[in-house]
Amino acid sequence: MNEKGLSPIVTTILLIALTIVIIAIIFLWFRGMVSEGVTKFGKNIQLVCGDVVFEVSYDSGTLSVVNSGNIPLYSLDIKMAGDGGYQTKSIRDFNSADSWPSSGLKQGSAFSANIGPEMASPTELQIFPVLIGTSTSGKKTFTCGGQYGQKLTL
Amino acid sequence: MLLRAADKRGLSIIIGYVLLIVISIVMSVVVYQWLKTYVPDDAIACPDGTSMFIKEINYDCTAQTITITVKNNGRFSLDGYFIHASNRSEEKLSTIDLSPKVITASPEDRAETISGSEIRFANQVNSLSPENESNTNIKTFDVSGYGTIYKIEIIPVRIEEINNQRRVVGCTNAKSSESISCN
Repeated sequence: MNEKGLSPIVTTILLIALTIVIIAIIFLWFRGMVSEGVTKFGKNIQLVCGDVVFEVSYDSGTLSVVNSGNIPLYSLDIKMAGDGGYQTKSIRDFNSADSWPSSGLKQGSAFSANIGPEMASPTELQIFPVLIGTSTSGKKTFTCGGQYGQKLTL
Repeated sequence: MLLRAADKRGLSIIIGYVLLIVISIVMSVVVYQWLKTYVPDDAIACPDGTSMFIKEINYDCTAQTITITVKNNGRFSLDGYFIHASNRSEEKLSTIDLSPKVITASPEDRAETISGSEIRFANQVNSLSPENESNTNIKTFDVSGYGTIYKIEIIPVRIEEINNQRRVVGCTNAKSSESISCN
């Protein structure tokens, strides 16, 4: 028996090691290609938007918000529609809304501020909840658009 | 001259199998982890049949206090409630959080009564049971500094165990409100 070759045991070990290394390399490469998901309470943050429950009213320049659901509202995006166009502003950017909690409006909490003077006489307001979730690169905010907003006709 | 099989160049079959299996496993793991977050879950909510109502409100405008008696008339025990008031008659939403204004006998009692924005009935979880004879709770709030109060809104609260964690859950569907006036 002059045939040269590797022992079967060595070959098996090498194959297993090679397999593990290739798994690790392809995993790291493929994970970078899949879009990063933002999660909240273990599920995709887009699904959490459906669980958000809040009430909002606007009267004489005062915006009132009550978080009557179980999802904390990190912020609100206020879309102001008026003559000729619209503008979207975060509640945190209003000077008169400095009482908005820094960590967001928790469940059961309420907020009220006179933001009327800072708006250019809008005819309609749309309020969209903004949530904060977790991704592989840290905390990220997500605005629940579309049907999750509330419209107020002024 | 016949081409011998040994002269054909190509990837070893075993290595080919290994690569295929590895790529399949890795892709399935990554896609699973990504898709798992899209599986819809039950919304965090109180069970159906949770209910509480405001049995009595005593608004003393002289002393500037409001005494509220609530009763658990549902099927499940309750831990406490969120309470908001409104000091404008035309206001649709009540935004004044009255939880910091609850009157308690001692600082220790106060620490047990207030948890965040929640007014707790006792230091036990879900202590207000509908089956108890005394399924009511009375709390008094100091409303001085807010002017005249026109409306009170209450949302009952339960402690639910979700994913092995205790969470405060507001029973939005069991919200109750009352318009009030001075005695």
